[in-house]
Amino acid sequence: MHRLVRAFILLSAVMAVGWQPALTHLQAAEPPGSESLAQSRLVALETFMRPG
Amino acid sequence: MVDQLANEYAAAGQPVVFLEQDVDAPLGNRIGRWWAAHGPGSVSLPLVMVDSGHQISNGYLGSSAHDTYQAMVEAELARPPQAEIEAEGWRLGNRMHFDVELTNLSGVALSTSNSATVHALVYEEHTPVDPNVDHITGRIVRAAVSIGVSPALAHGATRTFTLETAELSNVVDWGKVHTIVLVDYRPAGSSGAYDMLQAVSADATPALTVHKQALPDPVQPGKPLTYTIRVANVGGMDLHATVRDTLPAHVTPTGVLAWTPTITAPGGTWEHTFVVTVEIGYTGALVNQVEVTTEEGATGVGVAISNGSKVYLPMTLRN
Repeated sequence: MHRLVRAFILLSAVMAVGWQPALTHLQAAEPPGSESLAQSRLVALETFMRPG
Repeated sequence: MVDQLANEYAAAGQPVVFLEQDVDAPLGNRIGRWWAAHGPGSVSLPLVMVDSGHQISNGYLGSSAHDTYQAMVEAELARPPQAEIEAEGWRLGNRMHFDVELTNLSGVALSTSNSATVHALVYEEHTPVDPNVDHITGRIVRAAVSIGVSPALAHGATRTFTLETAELSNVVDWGKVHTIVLVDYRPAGSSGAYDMLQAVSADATPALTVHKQALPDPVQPGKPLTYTIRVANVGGMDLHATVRDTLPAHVTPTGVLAWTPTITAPGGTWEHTFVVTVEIGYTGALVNQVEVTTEEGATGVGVAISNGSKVYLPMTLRN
């Protein structure tokens, strides 16, 4: 009996996600590799020379 | 020697960018930063600077070049940034466009009075064909544009800037083009050396959104159900995507559908609509999931649940 109640509760929780008709999720991808640059100094070394 | 040092920092994953320009045909106003730090006089090549002239060097250093330049870089790495920059650059035809958000953390107002400037530099990883006639370092500046900070930007304040290059005809391989955005100013006011507050990579990043719609909802047994998938490119580069839609059971057709669209940047969208038929007599939920992966690394998932309300089981069952 308890197992049945737990199953109902679990099923209720799962289906609650679908309570809104035609629920649509949006998800943006995390831009890879760009999170940390602003946290530390990016050093630029610039060289001016003649080719060759 | 500069190229060896650049490779060492790249291999170590250190936040250091090495750039080279032809001293006889410098782009933008970057070489002016070197001269502002040095002052007038005769010099020898190469001219080298870190962080807009906070430290400079000139002349052939021979075997000491590696250690000298490394010491300059290390000293800059030890300094905290004095600005926050969020920047993204993307290609528009043969131009590069930049959106920049600058937050001033320098402790002083940035303005034309202290020559505060936002720069965008475009460079290409270009392996020299012949080191005797080509560039040396393999990281060649292709464009340098800038805009002054005006009106004054107070400490703690944030402002957005837009920069764009002219048409670039000097790029060999756009796939090897990179960008940085930096902010510098003259700490002493209208004269003297410049100092860089912060720099960031502005390389375009892949990003997308996924939208999945199911109509009508609820849908009746035996009736058509129309799915619409919409993928939007919200990043700075074209996306070569694979879209896989896993159809629910109890519809015809079922299984997995797949498409491989190219979605252009900026702002390109891909939309596809298709119709399935719900199994006769089936009144349960229909869960449909679409997964988007791209060669560029961005991913996304969209889910549409039809008839979800009809199988909702209230928590009162605990009674």
